[in-house]
Amino acid sequence: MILEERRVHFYAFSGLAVVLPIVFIAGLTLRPSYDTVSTEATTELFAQADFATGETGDAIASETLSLRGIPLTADSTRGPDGAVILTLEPQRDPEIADLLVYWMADEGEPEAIGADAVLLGQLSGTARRQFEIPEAIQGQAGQLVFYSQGQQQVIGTTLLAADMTQ
Amino acid sequence: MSTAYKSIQWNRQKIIYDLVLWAAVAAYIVLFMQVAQNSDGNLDLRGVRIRAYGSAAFILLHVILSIGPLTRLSPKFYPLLFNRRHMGVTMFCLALVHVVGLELPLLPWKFDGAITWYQDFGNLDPLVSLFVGNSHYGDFIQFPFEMLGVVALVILFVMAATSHDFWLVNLTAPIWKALHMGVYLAYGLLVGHVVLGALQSNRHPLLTVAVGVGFVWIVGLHWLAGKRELDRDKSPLSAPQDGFIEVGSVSDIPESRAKIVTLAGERVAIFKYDGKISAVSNVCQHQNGPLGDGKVVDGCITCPWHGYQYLPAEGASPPPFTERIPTFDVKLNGDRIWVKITPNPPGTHTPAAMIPPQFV
Repeated sequence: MILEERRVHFYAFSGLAVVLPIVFIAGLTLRPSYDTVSTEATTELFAQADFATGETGDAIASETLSLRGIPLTADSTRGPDGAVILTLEPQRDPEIADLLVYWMADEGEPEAIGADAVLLGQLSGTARRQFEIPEAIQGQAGQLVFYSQGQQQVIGTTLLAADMTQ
Repeated sequence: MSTAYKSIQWNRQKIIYDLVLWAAVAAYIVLFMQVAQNSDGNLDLRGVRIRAYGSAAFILLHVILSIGPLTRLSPKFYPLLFNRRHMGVTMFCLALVHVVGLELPLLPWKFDGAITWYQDFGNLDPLVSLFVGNSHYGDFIQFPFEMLGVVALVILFVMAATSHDFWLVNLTAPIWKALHMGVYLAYGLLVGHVVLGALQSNRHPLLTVAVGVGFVWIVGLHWLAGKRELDRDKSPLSAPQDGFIEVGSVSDIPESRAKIVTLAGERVAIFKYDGKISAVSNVCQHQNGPLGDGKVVDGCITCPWHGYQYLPAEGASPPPFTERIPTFDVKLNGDRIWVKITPNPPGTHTPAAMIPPQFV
């Protein structure tokens, strides 16, 4: 190295010796704490998100649906409070980050989300998710429509029989 | 050394160096993936792979940045420096894969990088999302750490793109060296990138300790080596007489080695060889390596960095090579060495001072 570069090198690392410890310590001490679904805060988080959490109930019906060829285990139960709960569990990851689940009246396979579509909730990977079936659609056959808000398109549809919602 | 242009001058040492380097990188990535897979079968391996490549680049950057100051502290580390540029380009490639993933023809591996994985699920173009997805530029802990990585990646790209000797020759060594000192800024940015990124979500103490130890090691090592070099430049010499300055005794210098002194703002290497004393600029024309830390091999001063050679009395590489360095007039008064303060133009023949037999 030539003399000027040696000076630049020394002063650059003198600066880093001051800045980096501050960044490191501040980065550790100020990092926010987020509750995750693997902690005991799960119940509270689910309640905040208005997710159905009924673990027990009377079985109504079960079947295996299909989302773009991915088997989707579907169970419907009636909870102690009378609510109909639809449980969906993809057997493989659909690989869509924002997979919203809508219910639409059965008028053939829809290509877009209609104005009368009912948003049930969101799927996430292969996680088992529960959705409360609103009274207005109980006992009706319909299409489950899987929609990506980010991609603004219908990812897949599958028929949900009437006996799964009553 | 340059005679005719060759894009890559491979030799056995370079090939071995590169094979060891790439094998180590491949082993690290495989090990990282295996450990992650075995520790939690529910982990999404696409996200893990992004971190495998990112951490490999970050660790390799630590290795690269350790080599320079280690050679200052001990010549044992010079062999690591020989092909350091290939290490740098490898590190840039790993960082690039971390960001954009890998999808090349003929390669069986294809996977997403961080841009796809973290930015491609919204209704914005991933690159637009990268820059506007997090706008907390005024907040320390929520600062978009991706931007620190982006700036560092740009610096590393410039360095990798100009790493070839073609650019070294055309930009000239001082400009090339100054450009490549951008790696210090890139390192600082990457520490920030990791602290405000990975360390925020991954709270495993091992990661925290590794990042902390890493930057303390790099900054401490560079600061120590830099301080030592600056102190060396400040070593006092006697007042000049008739344009010459006394720099020490013949016995100070081991045979075929040099003593380095700072004259008129630059270092001069004073070599003792074959009963003679010659003084040349300490700065190798190739990459400004420290010639005075090298030795005389086959009658030529040999740079410890890449083996460039110069005839001591000529200040020039042996024909057909064309490198030239400044020479300095030398005279002896008994066993005392006197060197002229003003250098001769590069490649000027300067007769060596003959050491009296009683001092050889």
